[in-house]
Amino acid sequence: MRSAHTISVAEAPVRPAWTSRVSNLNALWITVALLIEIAVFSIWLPAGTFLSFFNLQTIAGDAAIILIVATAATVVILTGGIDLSLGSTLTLSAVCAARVISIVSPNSESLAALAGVATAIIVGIGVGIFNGYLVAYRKIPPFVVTLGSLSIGLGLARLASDGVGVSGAPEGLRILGQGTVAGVPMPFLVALGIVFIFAVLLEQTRFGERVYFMGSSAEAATRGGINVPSYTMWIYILAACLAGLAGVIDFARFEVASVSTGHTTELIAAIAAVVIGGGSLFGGIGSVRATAVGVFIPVVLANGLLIAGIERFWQDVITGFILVIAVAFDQWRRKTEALR
Amino acid sequence: MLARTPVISARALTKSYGKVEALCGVDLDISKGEVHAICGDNGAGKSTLLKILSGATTYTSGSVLLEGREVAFSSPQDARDQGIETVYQDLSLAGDRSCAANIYVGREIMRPGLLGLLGFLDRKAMKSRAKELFEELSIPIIDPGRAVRAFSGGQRQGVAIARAATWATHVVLLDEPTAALGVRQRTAVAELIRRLKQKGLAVVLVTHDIPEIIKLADRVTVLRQGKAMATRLTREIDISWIVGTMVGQNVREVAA
Repeated sequence: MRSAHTISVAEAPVRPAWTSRVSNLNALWITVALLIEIAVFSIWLPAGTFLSFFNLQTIAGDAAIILIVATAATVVILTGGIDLSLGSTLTLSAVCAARVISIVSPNSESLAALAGVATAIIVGIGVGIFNGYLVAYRKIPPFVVTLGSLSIGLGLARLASDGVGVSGAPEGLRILGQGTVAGVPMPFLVALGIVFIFAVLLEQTRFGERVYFMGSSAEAATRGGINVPSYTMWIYILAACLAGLAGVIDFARFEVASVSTGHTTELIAAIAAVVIGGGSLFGGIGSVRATAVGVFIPVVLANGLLIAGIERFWQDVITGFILVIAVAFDQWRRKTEALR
Repeated sequence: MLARTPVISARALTKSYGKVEALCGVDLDISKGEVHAICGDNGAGKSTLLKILSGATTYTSGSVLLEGREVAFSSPQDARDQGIETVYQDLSLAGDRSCAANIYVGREIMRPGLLGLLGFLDRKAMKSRAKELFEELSIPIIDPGRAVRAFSGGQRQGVAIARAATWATHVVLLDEPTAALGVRQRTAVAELIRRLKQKGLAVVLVTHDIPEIIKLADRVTVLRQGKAMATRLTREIDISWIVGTMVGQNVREVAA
């Protein structure tokens, strides 16, 4: 008899609030994993290398770019989409910014810095409109659209730079990329500011609630009167703008806009951070704050391995593994949650 | 018959999809405070009628009257703006969001003052109003801040009906509301439907479930092959009359 198993409406909820329990569990998992990572490196590596002030600055600097890209990845993944072009948008906007700077620089250094930032953001808006329009209004799967724009962006970046890096950052930009406040690197402070703004936007505002809502059920959102395509378009524009900003900060930090890698490592680390932070690739679940903590797992690992003298390219191998393991772990966890 | 003026009516309503006539000349009157069941076999035109009344599709000819004035809903949103709420069979809830968020989706309560203008939500207000609403309708959910996913099928049905009850000013359309529920949950939904009626709403119940029609509805309209075969008070008929009309056996009675 089926009716014997059905639960009366008068009973308490079948299980405790799912989302809050998962996020608590998640915060615990991430913290434990991160502490183990730090402990292993502290013991393994010579004293004064891994746990030094200088290295903490390096970790913060490395984390900054990934924090911004991971924030962008979070908002897109919350809608159930994906943006594989974040790394190439970063590259393209860095190259374009560097190009514009080299033109404006001889006239005015400070104007050049502003023009560089503006260029990067405009490039981001352009890529975002391209991705957003095709995903939201032409209903092309985001995986395909952003894989295409990854290739387009990287190709354009190489064309614009003749295949080699563009260098030469003006004074104003060097402060943005290399300055410190009380020992904390400027890029890291900017990244924290962005994480804070997006956490508030997503958790406290109507815009954020609707993004979560449509990520959880696009149909329920549409029936609730939400213009899902318009919101989707805005999400891709916001994400690409963040990638553009990350691009100009990266250029300001290293004084060179490199086109060799297309920043795929950053992209993969960012997506891994979203999943580590409890985000669901199906949308509707995740948070910018949890992602921000998740960012440190691949960043600390890469840093520690670099100090240990392990070949730099192992970083890509390991970041890839972290992504796959994080998704596998997430699926296993959701399955066991569902069975309870 | 009920002597009140109808809230929503259909006059000679037709809908064709190419050469296929899904509805051919349906007349229907639904009154305030009435539970009106619409039943029929698969393909009889129930869902087409529901889609027209909820604004999901337009009709080919005829008219729909809301409180006596002719209306043509351009979208479900348009129908909602005019006081017609639909509870879909799949409930249309976002499982990961709170009960309160689901009730207020698209009509969120904002913080007062500048923060509200900046787009900040008043989650506290939405939660406390949802709590009052659940108490008023006797829906057994204590914390409307929890995700819908955490609740049973009957409770979720309660959230969907509560949402319709909050926003409807004229009509609530219910599509197979008890299809996925167990016996005790059905009783709870029946109670909810009675409360909607007490609020003075017209309730349209689209269903396959004939015993449920006899139990819940005041009147029933039987559709067959796109036509309204008959409308009767449920206390004057029985299950075999409905079944007979659905399969076309009581045609003589209809003609009489």
